[in-house]
Amino acid sequence: MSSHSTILQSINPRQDPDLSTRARLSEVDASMRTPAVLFLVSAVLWLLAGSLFAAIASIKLHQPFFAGNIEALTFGRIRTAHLNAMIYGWGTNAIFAVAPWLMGRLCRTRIRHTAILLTAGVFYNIGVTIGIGGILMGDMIGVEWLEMPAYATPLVAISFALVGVWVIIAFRWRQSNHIYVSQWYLLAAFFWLPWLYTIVQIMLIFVPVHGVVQALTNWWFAHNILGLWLTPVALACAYYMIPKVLGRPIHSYYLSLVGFWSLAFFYNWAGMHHLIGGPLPAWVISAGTVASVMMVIPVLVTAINHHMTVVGFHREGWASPTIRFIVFGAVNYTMVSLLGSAMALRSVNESVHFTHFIIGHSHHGVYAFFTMIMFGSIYFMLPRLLGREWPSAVLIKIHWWATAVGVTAMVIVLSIGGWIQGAQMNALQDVEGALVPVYTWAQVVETQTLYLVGRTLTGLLITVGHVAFAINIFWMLSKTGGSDGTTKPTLLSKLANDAR
Amino acid sequence: MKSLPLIFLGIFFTLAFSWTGLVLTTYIQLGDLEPATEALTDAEGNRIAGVFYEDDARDQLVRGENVDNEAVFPRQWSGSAERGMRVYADLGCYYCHSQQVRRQGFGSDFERGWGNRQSVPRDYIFQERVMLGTMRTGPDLANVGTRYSVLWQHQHLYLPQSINEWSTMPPFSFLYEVQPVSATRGPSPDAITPLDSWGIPDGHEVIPTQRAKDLVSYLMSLDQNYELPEMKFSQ
Amino acid sequence: MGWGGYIILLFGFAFLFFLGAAAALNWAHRHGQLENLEEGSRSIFDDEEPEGEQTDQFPGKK
Repeated sequence: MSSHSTILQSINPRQDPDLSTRARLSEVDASMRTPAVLFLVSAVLWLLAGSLFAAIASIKLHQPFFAGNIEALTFGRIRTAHLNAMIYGWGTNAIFAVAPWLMGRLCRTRIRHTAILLTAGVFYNIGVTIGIGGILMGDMIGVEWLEMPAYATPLVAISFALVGVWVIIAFRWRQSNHIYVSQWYLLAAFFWLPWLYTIVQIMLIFVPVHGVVQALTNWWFAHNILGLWLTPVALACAYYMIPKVLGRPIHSYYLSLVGFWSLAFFYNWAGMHHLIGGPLPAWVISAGTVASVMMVIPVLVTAINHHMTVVGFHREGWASPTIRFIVFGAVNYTMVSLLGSAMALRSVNESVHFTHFIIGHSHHGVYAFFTMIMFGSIYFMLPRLLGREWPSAVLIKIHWWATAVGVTAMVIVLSIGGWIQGAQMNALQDVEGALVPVYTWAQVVETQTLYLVGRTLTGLLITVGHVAFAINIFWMLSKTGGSDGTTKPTLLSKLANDAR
Repeated sequence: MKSLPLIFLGIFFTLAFSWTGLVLTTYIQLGDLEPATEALTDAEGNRIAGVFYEDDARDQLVRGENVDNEAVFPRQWSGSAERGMRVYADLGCYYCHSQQVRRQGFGSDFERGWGNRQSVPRDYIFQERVMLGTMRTGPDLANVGTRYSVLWQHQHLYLPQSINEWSTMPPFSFLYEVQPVSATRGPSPDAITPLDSWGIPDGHEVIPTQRAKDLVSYLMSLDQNYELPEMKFSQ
Repeated sequence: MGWGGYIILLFGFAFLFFLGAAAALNWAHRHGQLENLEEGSRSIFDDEEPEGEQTDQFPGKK
């Protein structure tokens, strides 16, 4: 390629001699090959590990003696290992694989000095491994979504900052006059995450506050991991892939603008809906409810945008694995958010709080929305990075059907079960002038068995999809040679032509 | 939108706005909560102030009192309960149990006997790690210290299904040691009474480890059964 | 600090925030940030992956 620049020169575009070159898309892809593959392999391994933890945890809830009396596998720890493996292991690694590549493509600039990304990736995965090991071994911190012990989290925080800085620096090299909507979301996500994580590490672990402000800070943080990290990156991917694959621009750019800023403004405040009914000032909880309902605005705006871009092209879209996963994800974004807005209303919350309905909701968001979009993005990205096609269409189809059907069924099962659980928990009757519960605790617990078994079975179905995905990826990585250029995507046919 | 500084400003301010509005403001509002008696002023309207603490030789809960020797609430914890809080955290108990009583009329917390009144922020001021919880796979524990004895807690932790056969709570028998009764010193004073379903062989006893004892101390300390100026018992 | 103090603090900060947002919007309008929005939506296409052409399919299909 061109002359090498030092790292210092990389930070300041004015110093680089090949400033004026607008990179070809294939150059961008090639520059991200090694780091993206590292992050992707890590992500997939964590996905498999997290699925295993999930299976153990799910079975234990209806078979408490499963996996014996091993302290490291007790429900409280293995469930936590599952959550951390999925959010920090799978989710964040997948983001680290896709986001710099996406930023590079949108900026029309190759990602330079990828050794920094590789270093961050190694630190990050070491940190997460130590963290999850610590959780299983008994050093878990009692804060939801932040359980990794303090000896692991500085590594994680540094890696967040390193990758974030590198993505933002890539942005400085942009060759385009225009900043596309996906870039706004990526910039926002990579800026928000390190700040969020650092503030909460200080406020809850290193110099902890006392009293219920802990709970408030906890849920401000945890909901913002969803809303300001996972969601913006998934939306960035959807806003790029849907128009890109279909060859049609986004329906209304103006709506995207409205969607971005209303999300940035409202999502921050919605986290208080985790504490409705709890020992906190009423105004704080009301603020959370109001913000959660106002989220309807960005959600509907995004839904309109995506729908109008896809409408009329469903048959073409179905032929693309990327579109299947991403449109599934986008539709579920709308559903999970509208449901979430409803759940934040006190009257609904009275029933669903503390039940499996909430678990259904969280899987709806993190899996049916975020994870499915990441799957779709990976299906688009990896062939372009490696210059080869996916080895097996059958494995893709297995992955698609197992996960789409699996997660839909899981959310339905948990929602029905959770709704019943809440109704039974709260049902009261008048007996001789006093209100007493209609259902004993035993009845509430026993009624749930059916739904918890359903959750285990649907979870296993989803895991089948993960295994198919992993096999396809490792098979693809192990192949040598490029594509024969006769199949799409079009970029590969051009590459093959250049090589002849 | 083409301007990077503008976008950054917006991104920064939205986060700063929510942190300031939610976290900082609540911190200011609740930051100076102190333990209180049922009233904050005496009959003449003077503030009741000052707290002293008595150590209890049996390492039980220490009780705070104000200058008039009236008890103040919430209470400080003993060392064992504080260690037990960490056991509760590292075993992930808060993923199935909440520790917050909702107000009467909102859910059935009151009718299920989980508390005589709604939980308020002042109840948690001495808790180093506040674990309000977000799931009720099992019942709320905010007042569990008032509902069961120490022995019940140990037996239930050892094997929940031996007390409630429908229970899906994990067994925590790894917190206990089954060992032969010492021939020279006789049964240990710490031993807990086994239930028949445990199948403990003759001549053996079940001893809680230090972690089990601490965990039960913590559970026994979970008690909001006192009135505060801002929240009296429900009727 | 009594609740009057909180009102001033919260509303004051919110007011400043909204002033800032209004100023930013005004600046954006005057500097042409909000012109030509539709051109932005086309920026993801170029000659390698042109508008109008689908760029992904199942492997093995032509």
